[in-house]
Amino acid sequence: MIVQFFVPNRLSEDATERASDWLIIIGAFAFILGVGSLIKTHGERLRRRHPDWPYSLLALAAFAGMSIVGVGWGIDPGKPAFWLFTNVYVPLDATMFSLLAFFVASAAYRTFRARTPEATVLLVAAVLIMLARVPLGAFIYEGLPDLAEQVLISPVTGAKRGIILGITLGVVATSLRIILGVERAYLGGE
Amino acid sequence: MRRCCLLLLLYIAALSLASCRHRPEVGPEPITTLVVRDRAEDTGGAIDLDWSGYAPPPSLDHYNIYRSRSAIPTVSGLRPIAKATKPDETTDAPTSYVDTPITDGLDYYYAVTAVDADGNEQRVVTGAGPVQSARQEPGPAPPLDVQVQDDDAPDDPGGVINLSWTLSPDDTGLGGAITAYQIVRLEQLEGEEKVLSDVLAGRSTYTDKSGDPKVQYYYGVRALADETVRSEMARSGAIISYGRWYNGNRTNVVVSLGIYAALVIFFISRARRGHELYVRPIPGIEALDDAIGRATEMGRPILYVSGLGGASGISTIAAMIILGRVARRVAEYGTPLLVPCNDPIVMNIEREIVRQAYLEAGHADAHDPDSVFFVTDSQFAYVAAVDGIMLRERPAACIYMGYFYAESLILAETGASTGAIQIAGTDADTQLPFFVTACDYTLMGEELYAASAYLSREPMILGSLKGQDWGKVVITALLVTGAAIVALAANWAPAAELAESFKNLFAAL
Repeated sequence: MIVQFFVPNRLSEDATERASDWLIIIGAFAFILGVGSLIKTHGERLRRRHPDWPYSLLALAAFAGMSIVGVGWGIDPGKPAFWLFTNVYVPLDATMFSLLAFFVASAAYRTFRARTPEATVLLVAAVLIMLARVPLGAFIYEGLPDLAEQVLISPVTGAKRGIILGITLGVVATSLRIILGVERAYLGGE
Repeated sequence: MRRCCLLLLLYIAALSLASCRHRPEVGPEPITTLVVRDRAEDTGGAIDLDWSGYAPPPSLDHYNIYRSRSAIPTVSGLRPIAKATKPDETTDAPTSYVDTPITDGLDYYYAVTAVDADGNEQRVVTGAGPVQSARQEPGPAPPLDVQVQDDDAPDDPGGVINLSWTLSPDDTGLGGAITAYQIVRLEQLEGEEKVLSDVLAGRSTYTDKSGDPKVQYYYGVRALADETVRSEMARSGAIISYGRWYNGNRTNVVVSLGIYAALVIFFISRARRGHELYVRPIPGIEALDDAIGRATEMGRPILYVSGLGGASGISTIAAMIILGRVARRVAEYGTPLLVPCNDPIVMNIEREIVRQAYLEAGHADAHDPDSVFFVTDSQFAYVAAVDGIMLRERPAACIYMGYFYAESLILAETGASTGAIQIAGTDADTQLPFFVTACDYTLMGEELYAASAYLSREPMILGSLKGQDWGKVVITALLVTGAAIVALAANWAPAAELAESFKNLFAAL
């Protein structure tokens, strides 16, 4: 992909496309190993009557059920698998996502305390931005939304760009280490 | 594990066989009254098809129309070129069709099949042909002087040809006699045409991006008065296109990478020669040892989450590198390790990493391969599973390294509720605030990539870290210089050109 970035020739495009196709194929086979691991892990828990074995039974039953229904009747709209996906999986997914709202509130409650100067700055900035986002902020002081916007435009964006700059350089350095063979730990070796 | 995979493959095969259905031999009555003829009084390129003698069944949905350069005994393996469908529920499907544009002077064969509402197509096919189309009426004046040129853009991949022509004398602009120009491509001078596009009247250029490099093509341009009235074709000469082997637009990227790579290699070589390299302490990395020690003392496991990025993500690779270091220390202390994975490829790699770490620590017998396991690749299902592991297993330390999305706060807050020490590291700038508030230590952005150097203390990796830092110095110097030049240009006109040149150095970077 690095070569393809600098070499626009159709040959390099085709090679990159071919490599991407291979990645998808390998991913599909790796998925079989992943599912095998899932079945083995939960199967062992059932066999050994682990204290939490009902959860493992539920996981295996859900996996088997969706597989049978999906492969047997198809996954098009109107089929049982589509119904299960839309009426069971999607609400469960949304439920987990909705937990985020409560966790944001609990994290804010725990964190926004003026114990140190940095924590005080965090507290003031958070209150400022939260107030500016609701009509109450403009009611308290009509310039509050503009002030909050300036905070977001100047220091926040600047800090964010600085972090992204560091990340980009870190990515390039790590990639260079891997390409040059200096870093081999991810291959399972020193 | 092998037995499990074999059972799984047999299970999938059994389900596939169970889902096979046998289709009975059904379908509408075949059409036997298809008539094909060259369209009369036209300027060529059109064939009329007619099957009005066919009595359609009540269940008819549409007709499929097939075309081939050879006789059509069966439509199996052929794709229809068009479908004749009912305009509305109360009107029958049409029983004629005009096939245009086609190449004059070539033999074509046709077949039309009836398809019912259940999707059953007639089995027996009666084709018609051969038929040729020919010009019978004079059309508008053709365009003149068609020129072709291989595209010479710096990012030309090959197969891009620029066409230009002189407008037809009958072209008086939009709303005139000529409505459009038809662009065709041929592989031989008198071969079959492939219509590329129609361009509006008044235009005299077109770029073909669909060709193949190193293949000889000829191009033709016709003026169109309407769908079937067209001029003679004005042809170009032969042209072969070639792709560029280097994108000149990206020279600034090459130079930047070259400078940065030179810095990294310089400091790596300095480290290899034995120079001591100072790196500032990072609390999050130093806390890893404390976290592992704490977990060992409490006799509780360590939970390691390597994010939701794929194996090709550099942050996931950094997380896997850190896992290797952590697993080595975990193996030495004999602490249980739990690594739930979101990606099966990542799971396989991490299994190998952890196994190798136990081998190098000399505790191969203590290694549990199932400590690294696949959960699911669905984002919130994965989060639910990991949260459940945290609440049931009560790990003493939770380590989150890699790329995270919206689930970061859910993970961190759940871990905090169990009383575990939490160390996070991510390059997802949108999730950093959540980790900073909820975790005890956070590695921000580049610190995640530096962690490997800190944990291994290998001179060569430390050297690359120094090179990375000096790269930041260079970028900071460029930023300050650029800001100064732009500020000067705002107040002193002669500096405007310098500012423009400076900005262009980084264009398309």
